[in-house]
Amino acid sequence: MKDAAGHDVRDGAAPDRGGRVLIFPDRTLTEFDDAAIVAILLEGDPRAPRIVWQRFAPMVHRMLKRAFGPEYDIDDLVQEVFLVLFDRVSTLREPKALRAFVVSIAAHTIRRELRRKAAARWLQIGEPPLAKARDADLDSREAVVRLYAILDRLGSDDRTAFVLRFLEGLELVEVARAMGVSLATTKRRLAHAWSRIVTHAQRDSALVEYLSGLAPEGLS
Amino acid sequence: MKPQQIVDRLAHLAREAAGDDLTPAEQAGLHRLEATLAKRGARGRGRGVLRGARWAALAAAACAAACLLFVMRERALTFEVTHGRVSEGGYIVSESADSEVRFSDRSELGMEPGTRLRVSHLDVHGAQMMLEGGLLHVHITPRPRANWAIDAGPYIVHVTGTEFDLAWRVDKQTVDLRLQKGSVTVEGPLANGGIHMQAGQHLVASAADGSLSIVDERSAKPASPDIASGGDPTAGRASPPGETTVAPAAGETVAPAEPGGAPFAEGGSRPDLGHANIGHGAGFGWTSRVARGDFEGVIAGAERRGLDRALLEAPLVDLAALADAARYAHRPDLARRALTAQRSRFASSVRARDAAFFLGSIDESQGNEGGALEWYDTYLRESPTGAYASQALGRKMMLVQRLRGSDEAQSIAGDYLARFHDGPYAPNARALLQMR
Repeated sequence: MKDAAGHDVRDGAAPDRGGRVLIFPDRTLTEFDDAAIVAILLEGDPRAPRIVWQRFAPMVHRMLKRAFGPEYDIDDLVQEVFLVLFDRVSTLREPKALRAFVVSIAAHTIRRELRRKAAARWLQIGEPPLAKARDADLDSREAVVRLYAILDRLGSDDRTAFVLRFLEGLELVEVARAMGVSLATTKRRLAHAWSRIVTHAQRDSALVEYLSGLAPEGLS
Repeated sequence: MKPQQIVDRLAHLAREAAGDDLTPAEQAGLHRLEATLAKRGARGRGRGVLRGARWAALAAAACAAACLLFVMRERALTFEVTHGRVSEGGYIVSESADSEVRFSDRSELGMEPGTRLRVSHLDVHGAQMMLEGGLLHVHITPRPRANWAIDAGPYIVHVTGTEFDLAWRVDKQTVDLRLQKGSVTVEGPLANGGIHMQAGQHLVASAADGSLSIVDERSAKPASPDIASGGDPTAGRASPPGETTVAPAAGETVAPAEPGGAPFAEGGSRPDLGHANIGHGAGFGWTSRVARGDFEGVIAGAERRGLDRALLEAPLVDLAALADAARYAHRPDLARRALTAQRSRFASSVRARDAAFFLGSIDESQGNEGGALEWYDTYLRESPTGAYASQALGRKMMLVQRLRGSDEAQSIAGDYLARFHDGPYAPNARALLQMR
């Protein structure tokens, strides 16, 4: 028998042991609030990795993918973010600020990886992975490649600020907090990033043409 | 175009390109994280370790620079298909009984006729594939950091190095996995947090009726389900709704068990698992064995000690592991005893409070809805903000609706939505309130 939630429920007598499967109601571990998550992190609760992952992995993956492009291998970076979180959670003074704490770790990781990429390019070690759109047509794929080529021209601080503000949609104060700089510095970096991106994009007539064709209603 | 429009549309492009959902491979990062944390936990954590790690990182930088060249030269795997059609996007259809996909690391997938497979992603560590229907004979070459995943409907099989047969029937929404070597982790409906399977185990799960079973077949002769040729991997399983009776598939021989028993029932010829006795001071080690999927081994270990004694002497973590093992191995009576022991021996612990929820689940699964309701109430009273509060309140709402009618359940529905607006039972709560 199924109830309205779709869970299987037994009627009648207890089953014999052989071969019967008991269907237990689904359980979710994601309903801890941030303070509770900090508590179990500090206690070393064995459920902590799973709970933290379920809560923050989508956000961390999203930030890193947007920062580096959809085809960039971010697996190690994601691991790094979570390992730093586990190492440094004891320094978090306000447990309710856990999300902002994770954002700041991700921002720091993005900045450091951008610097590493820049150094690798300077040393000409390997080719940077090509940014490609998932399931995208040829035009959008090409547009994404050109977008990340433009972002590659920015400094790591400017690019990180741009990603947090315009791709992640964080407020200015949140960007400043995540990057550990003042609001004024954040605004300066964003203005610099904005100016360079617009300049480079306007020089790319094919990209501008593609962007012009995007339906305004499709934009968030 | 205005600068604002350019930036807005570039941002939109980046967001669209990245996508929002985690891929199965990305989701598998949890296992890697847990493994890393477990290793670090064994070595001891703390600031000293962090400082040490920083110095070690600096010292390793020179080596890393040298290794970087080598690492960055690694190339993604490639594959070739014999006796099958390959179209763009890695879509493969087998055309004969000896169709095969061979990867550059010597991993191989045998495909039964009519099997449809898509290789959606390849990298240096493995591949991500989608089995759209049919039967695969999988051999993955073990390698360090190997990372393979096969999607079969809503189920995902994570692989590092192993051999197994995997079948997916689209029409029945049934996945059938027989593991010959190594281990895999299966995620999907009813596999909360992933089920770790070991060699010799056979999993059958149905997304359609929400059932899942694992049978230990180490004492049975292996046989392949005849799926691709139109057979049903679950043929011979009489499955009333909500309950799966596991029976051998056609052509399969199963060692004798007790009357009515499944291959893994007690009295069947359970293999000698050779578990060592561990002294009480060191704990029983059941937690790690449950994590490895060795549920029967944990139960066998408890029975060797004597269940009464084990329930009386096991540390809290092992007691909880025994309860988990019993639940996963479909031993509700033993699970109930272990959970009850948790509550009586470690009454002030979080696990003891959580045990109330699981006791409710067991009662509910066995049709004792009144008993389940009492346990859920107990859990909600003891742990109003506990990890399972949403589940307990949701289950309570559903039970009250069944036992006492919608009017009484509606007040619980209001409470549920106020506390867990996007919780798993929110749609049910809203439906209940709309009945007013």
